[in-house]
Amino acid sequence: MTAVKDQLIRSLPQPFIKRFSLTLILGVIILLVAQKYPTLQDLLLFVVFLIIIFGLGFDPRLYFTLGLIGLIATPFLSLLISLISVDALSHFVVGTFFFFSAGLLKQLYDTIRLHRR
Amino acid sequence: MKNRYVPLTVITIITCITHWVWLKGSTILSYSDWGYTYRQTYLEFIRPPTLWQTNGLGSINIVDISRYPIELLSGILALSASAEVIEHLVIFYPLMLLMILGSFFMVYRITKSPFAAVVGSLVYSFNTYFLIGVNLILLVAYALFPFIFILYHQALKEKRIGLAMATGLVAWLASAYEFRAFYIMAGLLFSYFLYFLAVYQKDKSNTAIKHIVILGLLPFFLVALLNSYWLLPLIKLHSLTTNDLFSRELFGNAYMSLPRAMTLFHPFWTGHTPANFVIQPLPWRFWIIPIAAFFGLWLNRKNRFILFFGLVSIVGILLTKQVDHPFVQLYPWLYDHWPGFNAYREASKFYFLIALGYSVLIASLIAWLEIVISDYTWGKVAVVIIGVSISTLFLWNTKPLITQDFGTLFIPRHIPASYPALTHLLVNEKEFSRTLWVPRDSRWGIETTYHPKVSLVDTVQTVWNGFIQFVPHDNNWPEQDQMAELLHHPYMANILNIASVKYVVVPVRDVANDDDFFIHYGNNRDFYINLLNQQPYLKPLDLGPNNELKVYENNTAQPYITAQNHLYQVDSLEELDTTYQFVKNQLGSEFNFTLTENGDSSAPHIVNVFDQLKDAKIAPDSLSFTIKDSGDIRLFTNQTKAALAKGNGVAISDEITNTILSPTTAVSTPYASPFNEEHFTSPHAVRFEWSDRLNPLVNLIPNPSFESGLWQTQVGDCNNYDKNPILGLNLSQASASDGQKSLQLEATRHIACTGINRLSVTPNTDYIFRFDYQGVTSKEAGYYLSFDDPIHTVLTKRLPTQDTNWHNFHSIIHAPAGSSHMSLTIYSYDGDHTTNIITRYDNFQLVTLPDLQDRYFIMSRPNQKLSPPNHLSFETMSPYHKQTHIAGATQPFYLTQSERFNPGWKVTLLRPNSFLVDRINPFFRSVKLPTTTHLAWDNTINAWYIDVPSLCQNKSLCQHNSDGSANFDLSIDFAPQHWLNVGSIVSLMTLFAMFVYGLRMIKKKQTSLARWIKSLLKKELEHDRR
Repeated sequence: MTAVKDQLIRSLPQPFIKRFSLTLILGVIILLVAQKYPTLQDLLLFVVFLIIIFGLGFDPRLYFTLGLIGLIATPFLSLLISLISVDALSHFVVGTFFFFSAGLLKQLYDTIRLHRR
Repeated sequence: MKNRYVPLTVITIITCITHWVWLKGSTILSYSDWGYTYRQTYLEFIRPPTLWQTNGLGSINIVDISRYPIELLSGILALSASAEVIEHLVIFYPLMLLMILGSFFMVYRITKSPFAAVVGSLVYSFNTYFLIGVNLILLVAYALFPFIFILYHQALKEKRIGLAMATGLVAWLASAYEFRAFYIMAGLLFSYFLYFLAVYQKDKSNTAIKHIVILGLLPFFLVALLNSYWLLPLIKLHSLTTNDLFSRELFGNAYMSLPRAMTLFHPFWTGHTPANFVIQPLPWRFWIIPIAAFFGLWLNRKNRFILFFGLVSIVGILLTKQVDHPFVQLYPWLYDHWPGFNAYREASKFYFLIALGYSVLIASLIAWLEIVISDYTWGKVAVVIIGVSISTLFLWNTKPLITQDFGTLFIPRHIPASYPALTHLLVNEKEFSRTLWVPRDSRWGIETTYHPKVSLVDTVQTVWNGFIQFVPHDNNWPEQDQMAELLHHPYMANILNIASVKYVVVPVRDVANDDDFFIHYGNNRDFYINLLNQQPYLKPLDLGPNNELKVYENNTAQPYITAQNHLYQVDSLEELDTTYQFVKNQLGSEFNFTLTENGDSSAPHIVNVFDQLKDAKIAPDSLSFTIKDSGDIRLFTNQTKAALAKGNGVAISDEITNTILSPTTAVSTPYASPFNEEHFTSPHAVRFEWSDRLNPLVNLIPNPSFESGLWQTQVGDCNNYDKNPILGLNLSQASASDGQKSLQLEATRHIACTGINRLSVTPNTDYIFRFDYQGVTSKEAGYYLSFDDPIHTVLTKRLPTQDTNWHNFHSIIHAPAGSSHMSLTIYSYDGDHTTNIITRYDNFQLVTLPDLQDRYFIMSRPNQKLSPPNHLSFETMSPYHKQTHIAGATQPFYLTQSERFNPGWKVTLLRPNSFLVDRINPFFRSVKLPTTTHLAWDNTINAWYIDVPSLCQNKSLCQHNSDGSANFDLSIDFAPQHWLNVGSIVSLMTLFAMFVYGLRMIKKKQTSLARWIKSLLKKELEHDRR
């Protein structure tokens, strides 16, 4: 268990706490601004999305894995549509889509960075 | 599967099985928007490209003009092939073969696995979007994309100009099939170019970058040059991104969703016959598709190709979901702001990106499995099982195609027996005439340059929309009512005559061919037959077996070009019926009209006085307004009983001198008798004032300016489709058009509404209804008036707001028989569900209008004597160039041309005995008529005021006869065609240059074409071995 924990901590981007706090603060500020300016909501949401991806600096694998888990779960959830609401399912799919998008953008960034080296 | 020919054979056989209906070249295939084209029509395509298309009442059709190369090819094939064979050679065979073979080659290039390429090609070819699609030209363009991509990638990789030119050539072919498809592909190719620069380009020196940029942009440049024959004139006309096709409202928001986009599932897919516009549940098995695709992406994420196609898939999903979450505003924003994006009024065309991306991603999964687990004993079997399972998902979609349960374009059609007789009639008629199809055209009706088809339902919504007062509301069949209203207008015969509509046809209910469109227009064919039977100018014809196809002949239809001498200017298209009756009965003249706003001063201006109350001042005991008209004026009065009351009446005065021109003392004339006529001269304007001290005018709307508060305390929800409305209602002091306060309605979700119930009205009485409105963040305001008469009459209208200023709406409304109360509702319509849409209203007026309408007409008549020439003949040189010979002209006249009004049409006077070059090339012609003489005749077609005395002042331009009359020749041209001709030269020169370069390249290799191709193939085989 300790080994797993160590592995997990090692896999986190460093310094994680600092990155996480900064991302959180920036994200919350922009979301608050988005509430005030509804016409800019999509744009600001995209900015928050980018801040999270590049601020946290996780490996794209993490996003792809989470996206795949979500995607595999979706057909089963859709079979249980009578138990969960349609809105909840569509939010779930949106989350899945975000994970894949995040994974792709981060992977693209890493690939370009690698190529420039 | 080391040999590629085995999988190629397999996929070809699969395609032949699934599309077996398409194999027989003589089969007629037609469904929905994919019509049927007769051979005679194809033969007309052998001509130079033309910007002006004669379809309907004539227009510039961006899709048709960009398809010229394909149309020309079809025309050439028509010299020796039937219509069915042409369609098969140009559309069906290329589509079924290129789609699967192209995707196979592309996926094979990326994955290097034949088996994976087979699976990828099945994903690309047999997904629900491509199978359900009936826009086949779009699909052929998509089928060409894999080839374009392979060529482009190789051009960038090998840095070969020849390959970049080949990319441009194939891309041009795709654009010639469907330019909108090419536009998406161009975006994709350009993205790939940027991606290539970012992740493939190693040499970062300036020279290398310059070289690769030139190479990367060369195909785009070539496509632009090759298409310059139509791009150039459209750019000059500013109609490349703003035209009828690109000005439509965003459509289909409800159909598109994120889950459907992710699963590559078309919303109308049922597994058998598509359920058009009925959203189908998403079967769970379709979720396997994105799982497989994203698994492939996850496993191959470090492969740069795969990463690119992953991005393509994500962007495809983002666009295809249209306004679904997330980023709900993205698509509407792109639609409004991104140049050319308004060509995609619904997002289904972006399914292509998902299909393309998934085909590579899923194939990459199979290829990965082949490498990783094939070494195990069970590995190969497992890969085959997974590959076959995924392929089965897509092959299963083709089951209804094979069994013909799918219908659509996968079932042979047969031309109903009633149509050949009509086709024969039209083909053998040499004079130009149009055929009006009621309610709309049948696919089996022939259309040629000399006999265009006019669909009534389409024309009612476009060219003739101004003649319609009926506004759709709760009525189930708004189009049916609109068409009936149009045909009931007494002046409609004139409109049809001048548009050269010689035949009117009610098609048969074509149930056998899945084409019974009557269900969309009232589901009652007899309604339309009865409607046409009532028109005295239409004579039924006996055509075809059992007279099943109803064909009527209009014997008064006018030729394509005519000379006319009766035209009136009117201020609006409302109340034309009464003006028509007045002109016909009182003035005894033909009624043709043009709108005053067109600025033609040569025609008499006629005003139905008490229809012009927009700026009327309403006081309790008077109603006054001014009509700006001057010069020699004739006033026609047929006074009302209301005007006879003692001491009251209608005073008509010159605004400056205040001289009363018409006595307030009543002239005792019954309503139906002829009008009294007075002549006077007005220097500026005529003022009308109605007064009645005994019966004062009362505003029937209480608290009309909201100075005493709101009408209702709670906001109404007039579109409560779910439980999450975000609406508001309050008094605004920020802005008001009258007093200090106005009413403010707000809607973020649903439609906010408020109003007044049960206002007392008197049946068969006219009212002036006016109010002010302001769109703070809204694009439209709107009202809804409902009466309690037995048929529950409703009057409703949406009012566009272009700015944030206050605007005034006014209308004269008629309380129907049997009504005693009226209710008024006003709205604020929601938008993108996130923006608060604010609309303000103020200053409502509902005032009883005295019985004054249609009793006062004024006409300002210029002192012009018009007379048509003794003789007029014309010759059609091409759809955009006509020559007219006028003989025996003494007085000015109007020259009409039966094409939809477009300022691009010009008339020039030809010099007598001019050279051929003068007649062919309009740049050399001597006298161009000023644009002010060009007008919209009956608000429909082109007409010009031909001022003969002034035109023939220069004696060398006209031939003068001994009787004082003149003969001359006029040329009518669609001027923007000249830019098309210039663009055509550029296109041809580019094509020629590419051809010469290709030849030179082959010659440089010092080998014959055959040997060159052989060497290419050899290179391919070497590539395989590697």
